[in-house]
Amino acid sequence: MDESEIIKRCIKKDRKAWDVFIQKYSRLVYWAIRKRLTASGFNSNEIDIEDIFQEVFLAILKGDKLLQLKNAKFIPGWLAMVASNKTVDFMRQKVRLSQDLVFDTPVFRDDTFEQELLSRDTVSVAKEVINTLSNKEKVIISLNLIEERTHKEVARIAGIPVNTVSTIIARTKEKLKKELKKRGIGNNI
Amino acid sequence: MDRVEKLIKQYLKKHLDFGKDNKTDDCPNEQILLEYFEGALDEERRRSVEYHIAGCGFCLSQLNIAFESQLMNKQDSFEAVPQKLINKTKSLLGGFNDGKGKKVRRVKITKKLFFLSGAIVFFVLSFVIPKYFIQFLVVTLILGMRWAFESENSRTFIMVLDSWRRHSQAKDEEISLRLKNRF
Repeated sequence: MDESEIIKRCIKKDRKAWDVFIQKYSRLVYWAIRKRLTASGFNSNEIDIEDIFQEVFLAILKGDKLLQLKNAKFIPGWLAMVASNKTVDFMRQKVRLSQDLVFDTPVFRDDTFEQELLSRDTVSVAKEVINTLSNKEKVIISLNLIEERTHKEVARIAGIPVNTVSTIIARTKEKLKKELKKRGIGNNI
Repeated sequence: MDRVEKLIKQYLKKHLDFGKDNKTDDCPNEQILLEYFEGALDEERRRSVEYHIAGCGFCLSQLNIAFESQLMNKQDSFEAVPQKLINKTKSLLGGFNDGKGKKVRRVKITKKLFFLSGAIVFFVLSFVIPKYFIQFLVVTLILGMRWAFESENSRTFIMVLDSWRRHSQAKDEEISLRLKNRF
């Protein structure tokens, strides 16, 4: 049974197709859940992961979410996002109950350089420079710096040539450096 | 990562909505994000999705997860999942498949119809056999009440009446939520 056949039969709520679907994509869903939990710094246990795992498949079945999928070829990416989305819902629900969630911890704490980075002037220059970027450029910079994707990977995600990605990143950094120097702040940069 | 990169990263993290879990109602669904990722959106839609992603840490991380999952799927490098969990999920979902859900609904409807028709039959019988008039009427009453309580509409109706009588705001909200869910 190929992927599109599985999806078609799952939409028709064929039990055997669902068994194949769960077996085939269980590792991917499991990975996506763990990935999101780790990225969020959420304090979870194996029972939580199992709950989310079941909830993901149940939500797809009950919400007829497979109807949303236009091309069975892209199911891994789609399924990973659904699993990740469900994980966030679970974390939100749990945090509402226990308030013990630790989201993105600050990257910088006791470093004097980092304090300089976060000074009002420096941040305002960064803001000015970043605000001049187009949305595409912002997405590129964020994928590279926040999600830590290589230039090649960013190019694949944003659908543009690698050279363009490298140029945008280098140009933004250069522009920020110049602006900071022009205003006599961030001399260490 | 050099210092300028750190500054940009820190700025993006602090000053844009870059919490990875800050999902909002405006976030595009998985299919739209996937179409953006695959370059399958028309220009206008692409721009609007891009505008959103540029300021949404959650959607950005979703794109990242989609990308990484495609890569890992190609390499088949996911870790194993306990078979027990897979089997548990299969049996959990099994109850909703193969028309079993429909079967359960059918049984419920048959049950309701049984009480209703029973009530009607005993009501008629109470007039046909006057000797057992009271007995038949009692049975009619019992079956009629069972039918009323089995019926979702009747339960909702009773709750509406009860709510009006008591004027409880919490109850009103519960009922309006229940009615909304029904449609």
